[in-house]
Amino acid sequence: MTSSTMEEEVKLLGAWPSPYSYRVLWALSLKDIKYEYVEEDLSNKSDLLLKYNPVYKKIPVLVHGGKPISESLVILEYMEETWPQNPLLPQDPYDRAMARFWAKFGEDKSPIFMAIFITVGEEQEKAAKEAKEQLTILEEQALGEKRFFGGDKIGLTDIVLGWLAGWLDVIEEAAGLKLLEAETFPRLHAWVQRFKEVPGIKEQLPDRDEMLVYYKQKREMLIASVTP
Amino acid sequence: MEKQSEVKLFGTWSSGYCTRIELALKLKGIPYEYVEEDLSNKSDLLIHHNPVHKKVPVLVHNGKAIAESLVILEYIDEHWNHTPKLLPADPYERAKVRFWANFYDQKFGPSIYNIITSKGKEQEKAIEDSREVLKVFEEGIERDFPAKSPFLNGGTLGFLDIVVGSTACNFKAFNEVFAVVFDPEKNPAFCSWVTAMKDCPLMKETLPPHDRLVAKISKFFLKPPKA
Repeated sequence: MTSSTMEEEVKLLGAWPSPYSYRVLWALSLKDIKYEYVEEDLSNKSDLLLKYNPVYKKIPVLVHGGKPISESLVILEYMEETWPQNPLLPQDPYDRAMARFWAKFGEDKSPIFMAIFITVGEEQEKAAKEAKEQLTILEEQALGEKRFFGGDKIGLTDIVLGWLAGWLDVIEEAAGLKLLEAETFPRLHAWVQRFKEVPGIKEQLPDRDEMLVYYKQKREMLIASVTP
Repeated sequence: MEKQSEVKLFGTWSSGYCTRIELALKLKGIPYEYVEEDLSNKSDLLIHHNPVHKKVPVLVHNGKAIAESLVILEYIDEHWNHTPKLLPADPYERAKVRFWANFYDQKFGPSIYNIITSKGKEQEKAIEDSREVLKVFEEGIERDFPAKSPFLNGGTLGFLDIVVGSTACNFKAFNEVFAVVFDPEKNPAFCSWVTAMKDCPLMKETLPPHDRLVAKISKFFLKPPKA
């Protein structure tokens, strides 16, 4: 089975407010691709989702000409190869390797950030300390003096780390602590403001107030389940 | 002062992740210098080249370092883009390869690690879980790469063959030291694919020697019972 052509129908199965879902929404927006969006209720997954992603049963799933692709990083690479306009990856193989390295770093470290949301007390303090160490690495080694992780314009790494821009401060507020302080992480802080202003991203950010309600509710439920 | 060798690979002989890179370099006919690392005493050079993770494998090409085996494999295929190609040409086929490579590393790998690091009832459960994951993997491969033989890339080893074969081809050592997970009766398609890879000359010359591997993993993972 070979790929669909650029013009064939594109469908995205996603769920608000999943940052993974938004990665694909951003790429669709940046590449100016027409698509149909299907909002999934993750507490009641559709037959379509189960058919298109039998292995993980998760969103996002991109369906192109009837052929499904799962896992956001795999989807992004597929999109880059199928719709090369407004590229998310640089041309040079070494620069591409660096983009992928940092995208993977972001992915692999996300459980550390999740941990601050699902823990309390001493455990949460420990998780916060670990999370700040990852932010330091991102600030100093991944971003450095660049405007974006991708260089002068946003790329794959920015999209994968985009949750730091649109979600982290809501999660911090819901979890009751601050990680990404402007004084400690001036470059990341500046990147967050810059990222949110990029055309294609700006119009596709979840509503902050709605997100805060959502994450506060989740946090309350989690605390209730861990507190004796 | 580090000699500017064109291609240098930092690795350890028993690591499947490092085997992946050697297979790819050899397949493509790329000459390289191999540097064996002692992970209990990491060299300054390794830490310099991979400050973020301090792990192997690290590929250093013209002085520039790349870490993470899947990232390195993509780099090798892109920079030395002559045949044989590691990834297929078609984007949808490439997506399937990447999906299953990630599944293998994120789901199957850890399930094997759980077997290695547990005992008794806990280990029995870990073995069952691993078999479940292997079943999903095997069915998925059959569904997504039908009629590809003897390797998923056809006649030569490709990306997914390398990712899986680099560890799975050591299954005899694993079965001997820990438990039988790779069972030809339970997973005939998977095992015949792995056996085909194991028998190919390139794999034979690159895999760690069986007895040496058994000795190493026994020593490293099996602690003697407390007196």
